[in-house]
Amino acid sequence: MLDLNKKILNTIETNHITPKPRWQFVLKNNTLWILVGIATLIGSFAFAVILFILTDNDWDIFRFLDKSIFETILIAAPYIWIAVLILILGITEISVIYTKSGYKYTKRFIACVSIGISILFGTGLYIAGFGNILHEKLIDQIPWYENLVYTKQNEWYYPEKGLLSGTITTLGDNTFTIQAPDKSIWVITTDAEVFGEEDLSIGLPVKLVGEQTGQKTFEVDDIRLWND
Amino acid sequence: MSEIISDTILIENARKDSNAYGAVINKYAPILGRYLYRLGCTNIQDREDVLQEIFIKVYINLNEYDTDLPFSSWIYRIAHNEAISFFRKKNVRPQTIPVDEYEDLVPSTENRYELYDVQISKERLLAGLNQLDEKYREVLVLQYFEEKNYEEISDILKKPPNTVATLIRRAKEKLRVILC
Repeated sequence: MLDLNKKILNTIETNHITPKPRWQFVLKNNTLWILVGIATLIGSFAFAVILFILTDNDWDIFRFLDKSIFETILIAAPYIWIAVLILILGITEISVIYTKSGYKYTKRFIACVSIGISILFGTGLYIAGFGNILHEKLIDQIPWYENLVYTKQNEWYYPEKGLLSGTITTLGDNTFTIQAPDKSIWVITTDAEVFGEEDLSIGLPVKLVGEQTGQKTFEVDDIRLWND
Repeated sequence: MSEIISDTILIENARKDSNAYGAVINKYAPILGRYLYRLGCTNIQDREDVLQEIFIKVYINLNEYDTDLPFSSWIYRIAHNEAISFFRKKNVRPQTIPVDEYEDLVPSTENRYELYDVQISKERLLAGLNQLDEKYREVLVLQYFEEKNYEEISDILKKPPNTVATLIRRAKEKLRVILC
């Protein structure tokens, strides 16, 4: 053993081997925890957007589109955000396991804690309106985002099936016009009772349930405000 | 506690002066040599090479160690990882432990009883262990030969304590089947 001792000390001396500075280990460990924190934050936002998309969809109108509940869920599930959550879960697990004490936790435990925190903070962010804000910002700023998620805009433009949406451009007696998402102008007619249900004004976005009566005319049975 | 303190002092000294690192080598080289042998690194030259790698690595990473865990667990962890990478590098399975060699390398009578529930000869035990998969052999070696508890084995193998408990239970079951 003395020989081995000498050999090792000799190798250390001749190769000028020195201990790595402590800050390198601290930095590595802290970086991993920061990564876990960022991943959890993104996961929470992802969950907030999922909640927003799920609650923002008008699930009752799928019957107008002749879709079963199963088809409806398949169409409207926010796949991109579910994928983001799964990715975040993977990043969190790997990061935690590589921290200094991460090996003490099972993958299942890390997954449960990560999902739990994302649900908790995500719900808080949703209640505070951040799910909506992020979703709208992404629609505005990333052109391809809208193709990845099923939005209300997708479900509310089937005039031939009795669903129409747009922004009110003019108001008259029991009649008004709207500009639809494809910029076309529609003339909307209704009776006094339906007309009086909502406080309508020019520039207000609305969702309409009714029947197409002509090329660009629509008789409405139910007027809903866009954000309801 | 005194062992923790003495290890802490040894490490502190080694951080300041590389020659003081000799004391760490003197203390742990025989222990880790036996551990490597039990893991299946039976060739003396190979064992010395691996020991050298271990102590160089320990020296380089000396500042990573803090007193969150016992120094012995930390150094066993490095030894375990180096042994695994040695077997991979050489593309060999851990060698079987010759029954006649190193009488003191088998567990005590008490531990042997606990491991198998009935009294068993050293020869039969070693023969059985040699037939186990690496992952089962290493947990039994750590618990019954190195006399480490679950917490220490968890720290050495970097596996959750529950996983260690499951591995030990399965390893004992498999050993029982082999020895029956």
